[in-house]
Amino acid sequence: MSSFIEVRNLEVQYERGKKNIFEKTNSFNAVDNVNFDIQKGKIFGLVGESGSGKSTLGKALLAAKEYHRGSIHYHFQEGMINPNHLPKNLLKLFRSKVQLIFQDPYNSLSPRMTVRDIIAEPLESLGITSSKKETDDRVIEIAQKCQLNINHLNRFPHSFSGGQRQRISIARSLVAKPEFIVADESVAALDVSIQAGILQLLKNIQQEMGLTIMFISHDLSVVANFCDDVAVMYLGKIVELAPTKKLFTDPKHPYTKALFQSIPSIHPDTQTTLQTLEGEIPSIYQKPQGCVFQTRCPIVSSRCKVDQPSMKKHNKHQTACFYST
Amino acid sequence: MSLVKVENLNIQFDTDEGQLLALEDVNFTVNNGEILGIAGESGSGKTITAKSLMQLNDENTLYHPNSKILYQGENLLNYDELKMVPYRGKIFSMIFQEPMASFAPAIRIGDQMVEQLQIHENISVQEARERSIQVLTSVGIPDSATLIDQYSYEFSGGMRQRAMIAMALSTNPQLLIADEPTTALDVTIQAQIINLIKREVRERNMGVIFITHDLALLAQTAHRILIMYMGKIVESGTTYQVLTNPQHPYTQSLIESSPDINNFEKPLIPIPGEVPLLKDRPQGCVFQNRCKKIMGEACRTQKPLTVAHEDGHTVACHIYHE
Repeated sequence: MSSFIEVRNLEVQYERGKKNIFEKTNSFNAVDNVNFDIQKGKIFGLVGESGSGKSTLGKALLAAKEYHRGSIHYHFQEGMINPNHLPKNLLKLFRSKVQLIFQDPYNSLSPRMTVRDIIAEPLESLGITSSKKETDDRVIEIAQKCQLNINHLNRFPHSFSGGQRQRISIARSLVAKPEFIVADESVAALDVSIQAGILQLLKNIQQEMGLTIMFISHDLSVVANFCDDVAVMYLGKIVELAPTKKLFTDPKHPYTKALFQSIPSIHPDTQTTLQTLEGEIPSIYQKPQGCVFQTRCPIVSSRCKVDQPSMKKHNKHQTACFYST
Repeated sequence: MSLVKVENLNIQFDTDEGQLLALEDVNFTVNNGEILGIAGESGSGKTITAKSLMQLNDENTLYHPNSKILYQGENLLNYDELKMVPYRGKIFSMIFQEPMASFAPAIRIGDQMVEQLQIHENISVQEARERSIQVLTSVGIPDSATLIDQYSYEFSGGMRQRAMIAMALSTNPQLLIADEPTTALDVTIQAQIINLIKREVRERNMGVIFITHDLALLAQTAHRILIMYMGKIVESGTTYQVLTNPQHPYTQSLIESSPDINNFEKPLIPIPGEVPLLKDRPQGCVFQNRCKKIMGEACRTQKPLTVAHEDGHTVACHIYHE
């Protein structure tokens, strides 16, 4: 059986602003030769520090950013879709099947639209429903699923709390019955007590609707709890990819190991100095030759400064490091 | 030794909707060389508590006449603006949550550090600059003699937060208030920053109030923890007591909703409902409408008293009243 989404040798470029008009335009790869598959009905986690290219990868999958090399293939029932340069009619179909949940529930909802109108907007702009009655029914159905009070649908977003706003945002993303959702830091702005509720809601809906989710987050504890597979990104490259349990119990790449050692545990018995990496993620403009992680790697060797390690696969566990054990 | 003592701190906000209680009977001490953690959801009063130490709350804040913030026997709440100056950056110092928003964008970092030193100490520009470079180096900013002349936007998030800490430490404060100092940072940078704060506490023997919503962060840094809900301390104790043997249903629920990297498959249990608005403050126990152990009449009508569960571990819940 083939995968639901196949990403092959994907490169997404940004252009750097010119310092003067005589300078050549520089472009750099924010996502650099990335390969992975997402299976239908699974939650795929994407972690990494700021500047690692997580959001850019998410945007490429949503057809919100063009990619320059490689391919993305969605296997829908209606056939295969490649989101780059879609003609208008296909783009509409694509948008009804692939949706985004934003990070910030305060800025992503229009303050001048009622909750009903916010949730109904995808249905109307994609032309999914034909009558107002049908739209209202769909809105009420999804609002109930997202545990929103349907008597409050005529209110404006400002009268809702952060957790409820995120439920509104989720309802809007799901109302067109998409098959794939990109959730980019969707619980980062919430309190833990509320975050747990949103994660629970997402998981219930995901199972009920058979959704596939890409869950982008910098919070490894949440990813460990929520995702089926996890990819770790660093400077545009996936350095490790494995099923969640494998990755978190037996990390192979030195970057993944270092990330895990930086996570504080809620058990005070483990109170020690947190082991962590020195320095910071380099700027994407100054991407090192050879292995991208060499500048901070504790086990760097001369080979790492020249050659780029490729992904090696061992029992569904992929790592890009010459010395991973 | 006790450095700052807060007694019966009661704060009301004077708003269009009336006088709303924001802090209720807050009592705690911070000792030298100690990190005191304050945890709770948004709206629980953590930041208001910290800001009242420096009297930085908004103008509509009313302090109850019996409230006391004691430093060396003096009640700071009786001080006027002029007498408060040393408590805003010299004796007490604060690290804010958003390092991007806390530096002036159009003034060089060095000039901001020099300005602060000159307000609080009789010191020449040259001396202030040298001290600033020294502190920047000690918090791990490379080549600080050059970077001191940069603007905050030229720094990365981690460097900006280091510079913020350097600025707070440059006056040798007795008490450092850190309000969500790592919330905007990546985990590897977060680990660097908390290691830095812990080292500075050891070396300077200063007191720290560490405010965060992340209990795991407190597990790794704090000596003692206060759990706040709707402006009340509902539980307090050593980090070990509060996190391994939580007594208040709110603390228990908070821990159940927090992900745990050592036990990542545990189910996360949300706390139903939300923190009520200040104007909807419930009669009786403030946590009653979200509590899974609510007992009945007493919870709805009477305020629970704070009782000692064991030495140094207190809890305010009707379950523990006979």
